[in-house]
Amino acid sequence: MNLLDQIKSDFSAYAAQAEKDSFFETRNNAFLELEKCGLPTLKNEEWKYTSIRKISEGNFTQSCVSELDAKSLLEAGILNTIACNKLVFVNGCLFPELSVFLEEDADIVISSIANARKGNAAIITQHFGKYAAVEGQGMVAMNTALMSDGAFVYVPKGKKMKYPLMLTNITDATQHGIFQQPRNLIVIEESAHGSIIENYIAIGEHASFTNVVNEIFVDNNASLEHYKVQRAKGETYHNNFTQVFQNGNTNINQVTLSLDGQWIRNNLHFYMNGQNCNSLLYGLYITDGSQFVDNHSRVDHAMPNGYSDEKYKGILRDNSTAVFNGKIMVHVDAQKTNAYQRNMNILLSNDATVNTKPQLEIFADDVKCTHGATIGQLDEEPMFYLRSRGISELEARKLLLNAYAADIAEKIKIPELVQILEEEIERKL
Amino acid sequence: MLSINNLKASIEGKAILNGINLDIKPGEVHAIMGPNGAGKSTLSSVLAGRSDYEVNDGSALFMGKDLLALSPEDRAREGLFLAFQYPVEIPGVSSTNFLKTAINEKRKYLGLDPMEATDFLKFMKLKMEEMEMDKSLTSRSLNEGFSGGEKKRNEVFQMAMLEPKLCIMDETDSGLDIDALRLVSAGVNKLRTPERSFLVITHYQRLLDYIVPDFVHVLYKGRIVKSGDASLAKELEVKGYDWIKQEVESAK
Amino acid sequence: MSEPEIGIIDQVVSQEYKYGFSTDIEMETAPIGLSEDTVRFISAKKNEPEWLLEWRLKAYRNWLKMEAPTWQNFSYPKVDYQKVIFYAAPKQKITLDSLDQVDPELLKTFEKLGISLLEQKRLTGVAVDAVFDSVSIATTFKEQLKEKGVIFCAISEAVHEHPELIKKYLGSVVPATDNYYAALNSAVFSDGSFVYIPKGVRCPMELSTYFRINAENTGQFERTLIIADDESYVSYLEGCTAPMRDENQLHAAVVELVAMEKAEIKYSTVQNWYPGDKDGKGGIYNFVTKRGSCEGAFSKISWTQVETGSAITWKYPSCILKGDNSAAEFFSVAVTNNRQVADTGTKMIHIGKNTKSRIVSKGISAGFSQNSYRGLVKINKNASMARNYTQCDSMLIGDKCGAHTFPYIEVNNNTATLEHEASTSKIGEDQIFYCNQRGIALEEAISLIVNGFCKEVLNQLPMEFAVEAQKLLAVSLEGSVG
Repeated sequence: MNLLDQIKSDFSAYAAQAEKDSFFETRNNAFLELEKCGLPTLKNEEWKYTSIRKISEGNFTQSCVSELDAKSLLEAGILNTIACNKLVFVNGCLFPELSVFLEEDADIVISSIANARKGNAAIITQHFGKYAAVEGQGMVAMNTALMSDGAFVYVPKGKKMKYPLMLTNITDATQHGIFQQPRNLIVIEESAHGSIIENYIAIGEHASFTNVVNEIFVDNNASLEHYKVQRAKGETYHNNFTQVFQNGNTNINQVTLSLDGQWIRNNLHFYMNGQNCNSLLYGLYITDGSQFVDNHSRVDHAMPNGYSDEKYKGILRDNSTAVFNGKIMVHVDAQKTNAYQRNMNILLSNDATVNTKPQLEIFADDVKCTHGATIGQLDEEPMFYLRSRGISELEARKLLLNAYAADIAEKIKIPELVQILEEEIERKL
Repeated sequence: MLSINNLKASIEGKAILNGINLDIKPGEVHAIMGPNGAGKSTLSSVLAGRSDYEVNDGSALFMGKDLLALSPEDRAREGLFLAFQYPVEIPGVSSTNFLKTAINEKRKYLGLDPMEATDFLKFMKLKMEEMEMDKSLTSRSLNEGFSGGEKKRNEVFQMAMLEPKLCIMDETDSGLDIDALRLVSAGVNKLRTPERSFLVITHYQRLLDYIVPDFVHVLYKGRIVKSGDASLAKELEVKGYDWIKQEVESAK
Repeated sequence: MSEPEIGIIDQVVSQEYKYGFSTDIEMETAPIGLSEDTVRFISAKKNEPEWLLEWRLKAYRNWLKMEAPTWQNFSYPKVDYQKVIFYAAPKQKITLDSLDQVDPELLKTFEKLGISLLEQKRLTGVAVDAVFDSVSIATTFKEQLKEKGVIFCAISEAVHEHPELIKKYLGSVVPATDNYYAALNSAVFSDGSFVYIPKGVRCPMELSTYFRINAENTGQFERTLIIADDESYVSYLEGCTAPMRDENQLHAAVVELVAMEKAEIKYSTVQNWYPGDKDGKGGIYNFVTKRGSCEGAFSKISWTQVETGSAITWKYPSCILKGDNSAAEFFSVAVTNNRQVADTGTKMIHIGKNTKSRIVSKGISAGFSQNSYRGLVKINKNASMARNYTQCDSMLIGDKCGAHTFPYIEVNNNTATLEHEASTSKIGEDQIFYCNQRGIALEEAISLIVNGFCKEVLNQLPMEFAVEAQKLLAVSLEGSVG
């Protein structure tokens, strides 16, 4: 059965017994939208370079069942050296045995959405489905209609998370193809601070499709660190849609590292709903084999005095493909906006492909916006310098590539994580 | 030439100039000194007509005309020249084109025919030799990629080209090393004539070693609190501004 | 928003279009509307050979199956093709070799536009082909060009006199089915210029075509074909104007350039079609397909355009870099004001090895206008050592307009080097004050700054055109002084 038909039949099964679900209306609207707009095709401008054919034809099963024990899951790549709270989901369902909670302020909630709906229904209802719009977004609509579980993080007014939360999603495709739709909701209230690491890993031979939606709300004067580490090896298809909605005077630092995975599509959207918003978006993708990585971003400067800085870097080898599409949208009222965007690519093989589209749309006159893209090979100049100091060409290349990549990893403000990622980068290179 | 009477000005409701009185006669060089925030740059901006500043009271007569009623470009055409502290960059516009436009706009204002292209180039060549300007400076985009020294020399060169009656020099020495300062001052001294007056605004005395003033005024809290001859500048160099502040405070 | 700029916008809004007069002259037109009969009518009027009629009809049948493109950012009312006149020509029979026989009204029109066909004073040393509505009126300097073997004539004439060249190259760069408007043009194109520069010849003068839409309810569909044979060089200029009319008029031209080995074509446009009034009423829809093919090794094509007119402009002069070591350039200034929309840019398709392309785009938006750069740089798999440098700068005047950049970059070869840079800025108040302080008033200051902003592009234009273009920029933005 193709994916859309599967969704339709799953939804009617859900709808038949959904009377008590307080999300029903939101889900039903999303489902109607999905029926209307369907799943994206290459004709859709935002999906011009990104085919989901393998996904829509794929035969995946939605199932929580994993026969693996905690130990083998742990070994699969939960980053254990970092002192942090941990929520672990396997195939979309909470795996409590591996979850760890460190001492945090009692008012801070870190939980699965399913569990949180019991005690924090009001906050969830207030925010759920409010930011990730489903209109024209088939993938988001599909998630909203039939989401699996996910994390709920709530940092109330003035509270600060002492430790980051690592949100690990493990795909266990040892038995059969897996389809999961994680859905995370993160609410950071006024003057609060949160720190989240999304960590994706996979085991097993079968194919899997993971369709994630993150909704993040950051209220006035609050700040958020948000990191995404994609290391789901094997035949994994990963679609990740993150909508950040930020009110005034907020600071957000977002870093995405795409290392493993057959097919990755990230949509990272920021909406600046107040003045003096400060958003940093950094990304690194290192691809080999026939990997495909697509990073789409959109920053909506809706109010004055906003600042955004975006830098995405890629290293491509073999016959891998990378897509970058960044859009800076400066609305009429967003005077005194400063927005910067850069996409840099190094191609190490003649079979690799890069498609990049750094866009600006500007409707306010008193703004400073620049964007740029470069595609090329390693700079000859520093190569020569290193070699003239007696370093072999191979070593010099390694050194330079590591430095090029580390520039992004270092934007992460958790030193232990940076260290692990630098090792991972070295492995990939 | 210039007669300022009880001039008061403010920016965004904040009073900066609190009653300035100053008379400048043809050929005189006046220096205005003062600590940071005294209102020195405000005075030059108000005289040149920058719209951010609001004039609240007082008057300024320039060659007998009400200066404050004129638009910035008409003030310039009447012969008032401001050498900017931070000359702006205008990408793609060559100094030659810029100066030709400026001179012909002034001529039009004065009811004269525009200067022919060849005459203009001859005139510019002459002035460049006189001011010892490097040729490349005039073909490059206006102030774009100029060093601090080049920018200030270019301001003085424009002064030579536009032949103003009164030159206001706003902290011309800021950001200049000693060699650049010497070059710029030498340029200014060449332009001193019995008719042309200068108002030199500076924080430090060192510029006045090269451009020797006839009068020195100390500006503090938006008022001229002390006036004297060139020796006043020397005194300030030795003693700093604190003694003046104390004098003013104790007089209250 | 500071005060001086409100002043600028007021002046900008009050600008007037000085080419807005119309000429009263007896016209012969095709029946209104579009059908196979219209196509046959046009072909018959031109006394065309059978193969060309077939070619037109094929294009027409394809066009019927196509859909009008829609673009991001704005919508425009649908064109009703049954209300357009597809062919309009001055009734008088024209003998191309004798200017004396041309209707004096027509000559007056071109005089008014600054193109004196008789005297050639203003454009000394420039050979002019003037196209009035659908027909080429006169081509000057033909004899001098003939001596060098250069062919410069109306395309309708070339069909008869150089059928082998037309047959070989017409539609070779822009196929009849390329896009909606190219297909329409292929079906109903009326006239245009044809240029052939033989091997090793450097064309001794600038060639130029002036296009004028005059008749009401007409569309203009001209077709230009330029072929530069091995080691030849030509510089070609194009200018356009139209009268002020309340309804929108359609202009859907096709331009094809072919540069053989070591040949160079420089194509410059100053586009000043009527842009509509300040409320967006009337104006030309300028939907043009322009493409050049660098066929031979070491060939070069350079597009330069100054776009100030038209209600809507969609235009992407492109280059296909087939020959190894070929080079292409695109220099563009697009100014939009009032309710104008400009969506312009280029496509650089790198196929040959060691190919180089450079894009410099300057967009200036004022009033309520929308100005977009849309471009594609594509490096094919075998295009090793390809290079592209792109620079897109936008300037906004006023806070009701928009500036947009949509660059597409597709790279399939790892030896390619691409750089894309873009920036958006406004005219700084400090820049204006600096000019004021030197005695330069607001309008002149804006003109200086805008021309400085566009300098890299204006420098590409031949002298006579550059002066005209500078004036045009000033007029477009400042309003008429005095």
